[in-house]
Amino acid sequence: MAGGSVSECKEYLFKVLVIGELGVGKTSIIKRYVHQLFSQHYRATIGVDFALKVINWDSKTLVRLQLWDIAGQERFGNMTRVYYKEAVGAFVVFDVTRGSTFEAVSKWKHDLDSKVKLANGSPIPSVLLANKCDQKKETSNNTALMDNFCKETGFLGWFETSAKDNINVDEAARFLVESILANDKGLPYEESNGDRIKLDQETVAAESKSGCC
Amino acid sequence: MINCVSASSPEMRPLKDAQLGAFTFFASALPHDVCGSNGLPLTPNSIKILGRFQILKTVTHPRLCQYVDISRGKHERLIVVAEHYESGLSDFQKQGKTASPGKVLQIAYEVLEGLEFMNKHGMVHRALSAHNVLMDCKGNVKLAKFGLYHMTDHGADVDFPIGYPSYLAPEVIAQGSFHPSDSSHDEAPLPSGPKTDVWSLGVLLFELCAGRRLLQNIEISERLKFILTLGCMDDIVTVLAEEHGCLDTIKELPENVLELLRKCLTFLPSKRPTPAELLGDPVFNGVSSCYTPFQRPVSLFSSSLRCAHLELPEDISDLCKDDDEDYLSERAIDEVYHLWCLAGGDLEKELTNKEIIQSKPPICTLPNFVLEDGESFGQGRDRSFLLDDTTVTLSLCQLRNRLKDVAGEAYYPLLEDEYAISIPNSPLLQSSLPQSNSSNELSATVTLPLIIRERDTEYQLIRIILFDRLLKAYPYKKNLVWKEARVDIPPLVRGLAWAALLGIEGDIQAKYESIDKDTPIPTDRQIEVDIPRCHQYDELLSSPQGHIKFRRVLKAWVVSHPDLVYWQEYLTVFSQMIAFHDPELSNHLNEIGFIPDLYAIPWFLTMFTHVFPLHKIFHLWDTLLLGNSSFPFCIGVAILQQLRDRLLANGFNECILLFSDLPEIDIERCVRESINLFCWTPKSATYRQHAQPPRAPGDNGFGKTATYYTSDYQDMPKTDLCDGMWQERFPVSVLSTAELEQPVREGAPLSVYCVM
Repeated sequence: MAGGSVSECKEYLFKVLVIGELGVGKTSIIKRYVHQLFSQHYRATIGVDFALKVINWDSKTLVRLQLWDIAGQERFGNMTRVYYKEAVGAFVVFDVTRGSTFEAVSKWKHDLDSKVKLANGSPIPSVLLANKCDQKKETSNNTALMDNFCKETGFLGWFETSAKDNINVDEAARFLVESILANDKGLPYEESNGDRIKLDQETVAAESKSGCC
Repeated sequence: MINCVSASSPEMRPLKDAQLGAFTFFASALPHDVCGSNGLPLTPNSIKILGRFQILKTVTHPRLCQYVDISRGKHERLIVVAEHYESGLSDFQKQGKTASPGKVLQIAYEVLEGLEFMNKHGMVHRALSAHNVLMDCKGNVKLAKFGLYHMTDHGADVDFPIGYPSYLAPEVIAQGSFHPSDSSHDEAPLPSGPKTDVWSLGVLLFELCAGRRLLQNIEISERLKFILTLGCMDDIVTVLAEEHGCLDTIKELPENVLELLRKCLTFLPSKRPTPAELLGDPVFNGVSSCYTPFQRPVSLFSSSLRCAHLELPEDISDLCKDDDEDYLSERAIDEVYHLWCLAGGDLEKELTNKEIIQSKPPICTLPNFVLEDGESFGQGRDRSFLLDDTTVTLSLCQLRNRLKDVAGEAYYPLLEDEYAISIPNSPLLQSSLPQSNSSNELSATVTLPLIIRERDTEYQLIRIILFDRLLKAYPYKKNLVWKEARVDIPPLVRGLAWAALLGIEGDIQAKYESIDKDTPIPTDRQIEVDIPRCHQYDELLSSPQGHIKFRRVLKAWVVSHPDLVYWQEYLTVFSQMIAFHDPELSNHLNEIGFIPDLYAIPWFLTMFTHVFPLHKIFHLWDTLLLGNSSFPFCIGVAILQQLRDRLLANGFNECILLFSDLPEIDIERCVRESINLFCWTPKSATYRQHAQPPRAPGDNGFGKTATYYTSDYQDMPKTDLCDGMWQERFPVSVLSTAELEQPVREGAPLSVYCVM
């Protein structure tokens, strides 16, 4: 895994944040995406939780997504700076059955943009997820409204997702990774570490500091 | 001495001549694949019943059979354990004897006492019948099965009707039967009130007077019709007497007994008296003077003095006359049951032996022939699912046999026995814990792992007796409680022991009740989301009643703790602790950027309740409560040490994944090592500028209410190797206060103890 130079294959490690209000289903989305599982009984996330997803993007590209599942409680306002550091992409999640969680989206987005930026100073790519769409009651079509909201708030796009029924989770992830890759052209994972001497190959996997600095 | 102790007991009454009885029934099964409105699976009815049952354990009255335990079996089966007596009113029936008017009045009065007490707790019996009115060896009434109506949500959670046809009050019959699954009824009938029991009592008393059972020889539907037709009669008692050919017997009854029958058998509930009204009725003029009103035993946590009104007999030696040497039956009924279970008691086996539980091989329950539309043939209705409310007596032989070598003195240990306190070669010293004054012979058991000790009948008996004694002498014996808690805490007394370790004093229940737990607060939403995902594998915590209680505890806690503890300093100190105790690990973790912020927040924020299952949490907290505010760091370091090899061998990605799904932790080893680390940690290493100052005397977390003895124990436990470092309190948070507004607080579990 350390021998990046051995093959032609480029490896990337991306740190991706998953944020949003309490109980909107962040953990459920991650479990669905990474483990193809769904349960009604996930416990609350306290602080931060992690998952790793390996994607064979194409024949020449391997992407490791390090998903940071950040607790929805507001009280971690100060802690989030530690968590956001060096992230290169983000999902902001809300619950379609609870309007208040959508209202909080702008707040989360603002928090995100104020605490982490790409190397070039632009905001990190972020995608809005309207989760629990399987439980949506009204079928009103507000696509135009949402598109507009995303444009105004600075989201790349939005998806109606359901972790329970596995709707759009993979699609949303693919969409985000595409734009991260586009931002990251020319900065593959291994090469960014070229200035370090490694005594121990084990430490390679640890370099979350790579990617965008 | 014996009497004195039990008089002040905050817990259940001693077993005495009572027995332990078990009966079983089925909760109605829910349809499969149906979800509630919140998208979550429906709570099984057996879980609902189990949750509602808990309050019954606290309903203690001399006229009521004490409820002890409930457990769930397969197919929504429930088994209830309660105080039981072999004799009862059905003995009169079997013998076909009439009871004397005096006896009838006595029985009536005592039944009413029991009913009135239940009514005060918001419950009615609804299943009163001759075989649910039991009698102890002195002939005093003990009502059984009085909680069935309450625990089944007025019968809504079971498929059988509650109550017996001959004894049902007309208004109950008039409501008809109700099945939640039956869509023809829109809503459940209103729950019955206290007066329905008075009618049933009337029938019961009539049977006693007449010496025969009512309405025995007619079909159930005819019986119910007959009871309803009584509404057109002027004199129900006379009509009943004529119908049963006992008019002469009834006419000869004294006027006050007749009057009592007439009052009970009043057709219209609006004109029928309640149990409380009847107790004050002149018909009992000659009887009521023999009874003193029930005095609730003073609880361990009360503002009044527990032994202030202790009455000793003139001749003290009277107290020692109990020389039948049946010490076990002096123990509280729940204690005896706990020991019965430890000694190999198996409820299902007992009920199976008596053929109350009948099991068939599943293949024998298959129908022989099934039509396309689902109609099946060849198997009768499976009668084993019908209600058989026989109560089976649990034999104590096995338990008594197991305890036959326990000397009588063991039941009454001397707390101040100097010799016992200082056994020089006690194995306890090896674990650098102070000695316990448990019996010397048990010192071998003390060295065994905790989970084995917790299953050892003799060991638990001795420990429970010791803790029971110490807790009854709380707070005077607070220092001994601390010492013993360092050895272990018997699971049966854990709630009280934790309360004692936390220094709870005074009328904590009243304080709890005075907190506003209803007004909406901003944290409500968090609590609402978190409760259904907090330790839901546990039957109690997943029951609706458990959710209600838990919500109230959490709200009370949030409301009464508006102050904050500075939080981030915690993690910095924790990093220092890792560096102090394990520099190599610390360097590696820093190297890979695996900082405590990424994994330790749930540890400290929830005092580890978020990361371990309940059974491990109990053992961890048994020790946690003995430490000061830096003890949690030691637990954290001890956890890291168990994972040390894997952490050292891995990089950041592997480490974060390791902690996302924390591997099995040997909790006993963890506790041991954290005590060790604690003793090796200089105070300066864990100094926190923003730590809470040591508590002021009298502040036990619910505001500044003066209590009596705290100051006496300020510098109490200086005897152990850690020299007084344990005495400082540390901040505690409740099970999932995790999710609450404020991170680390004090004094929370006491409320868990108080209400759960």
